[in-house]
Amino acid sequence: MTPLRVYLVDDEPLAVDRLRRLLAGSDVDIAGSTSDPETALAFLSRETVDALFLDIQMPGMNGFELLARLPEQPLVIFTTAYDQYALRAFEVNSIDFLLKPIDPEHLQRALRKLQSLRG
Amino acid sequence: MTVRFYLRVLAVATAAALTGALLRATMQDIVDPNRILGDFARIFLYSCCVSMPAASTLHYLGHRSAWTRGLSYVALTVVVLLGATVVGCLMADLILVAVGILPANQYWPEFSFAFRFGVLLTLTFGLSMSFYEVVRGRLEAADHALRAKQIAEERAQKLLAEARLSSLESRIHPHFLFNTLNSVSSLIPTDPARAEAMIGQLASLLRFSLNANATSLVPLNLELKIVRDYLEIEKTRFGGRLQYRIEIPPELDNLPVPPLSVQSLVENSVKHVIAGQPQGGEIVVTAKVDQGRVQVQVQDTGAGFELGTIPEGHGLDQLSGRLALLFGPNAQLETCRTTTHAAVRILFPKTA
Repeated sequence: MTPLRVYLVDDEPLAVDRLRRLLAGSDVDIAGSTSDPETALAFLSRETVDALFLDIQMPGMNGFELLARLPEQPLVIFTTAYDQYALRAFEVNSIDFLLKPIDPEHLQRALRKLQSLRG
Repeated sequence: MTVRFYLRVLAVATAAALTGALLRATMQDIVDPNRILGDFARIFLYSCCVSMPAASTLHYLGHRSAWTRGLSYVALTVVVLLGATVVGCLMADLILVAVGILPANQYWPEFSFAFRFGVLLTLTFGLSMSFYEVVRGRLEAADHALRAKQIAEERAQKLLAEARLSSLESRIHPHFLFNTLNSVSSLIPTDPARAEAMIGQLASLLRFSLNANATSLVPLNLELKIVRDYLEIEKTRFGGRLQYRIEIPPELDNLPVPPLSVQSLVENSVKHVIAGQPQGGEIVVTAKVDQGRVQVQVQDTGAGFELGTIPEGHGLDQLSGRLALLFGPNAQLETCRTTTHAAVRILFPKTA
């Protein structure tokens, strides 16, 4: 089975670092990561990924706005510090909703869900 | 209240006397104004003698419990009015005899005439006024109850506001708390010293927030320590996007300020200018005392905002609630703009 190709977006560089580290031991190919939503938009407009790890509150463009501007909707795993957006997250193509600091077990569960969805 | 009631009774007595005099003039074709005036004076004496005891009795009974409602009240009123008519006419005649207007042997014939005439006037005016007083009393009671309810509601609102302002969530935003914990998690393997420092800063911020009382003041230097801890945490999270300066003269170190007041302003700047803009910005904290008024100012490189647009429950809305609790109308929150910065100021009286 080919590894899952994922992309990480969070405006806090430390949050991106931690997610990268948590994903390091899993069968995941990190296609890229950024703390700038504009960079994410440019990347995702030309490349396809299996899933997107996406923060919600970001400057300039929040997670939902970023998704709205993408030509193709990837599968999304939201990462956020507080669950006030949980309901709205289920209106888009989201697989899971990870609360920061992310629990490694919860992350593995989200990855398994992602694998099974991909078939 | 009672004085006003008797003034109303006097007005009704006058109206009754006037009606009586005109009625008599009409019935007996009296055209001489002096005669009519004389009749008026005489009937006025009767109506005073009848209305005062009647009014006093009804006023006294009216304040007694619930049986003063409905038909039994009407019956009681009629009995009192008739009784007062008898007593009043006897009394008025006695006065007329005493001052020599009425010959003593005319006492009973005069009484018999006055009583029959008086019953008509007394029942008409007495019942009307009783009815009016009962309605008025009920309206007043309803108004009183409404006001008592309003006062209770205002008190409840105030207590609620205090409780809301003293909850931890109103001081430490969950977003901030969990993002900070996430930053700490991230730093542990790569920069343990920085992670440790961040835990210390978060702990002092939490401790200060838990101890802060919505109704007391803290020295400015303590508040600024918290502001620095807070800004250092945010600087770790946002990296180069956050720049700040705190420029306070040391003589203001012990100036009493509302706890978390400067912090609320700084937090607002971080939220809108640092977290809200990809390029970040700068925050400058200054303070001064001018003519007994403290002015603490937080400037940032953002676009600024109008105070009127702040939604309820927002950090600055809560700050203005706390200022109102502490200083009433003597504290203000205001915004202004310079060419490079937008500023928010808190102004309040110097207390020590």
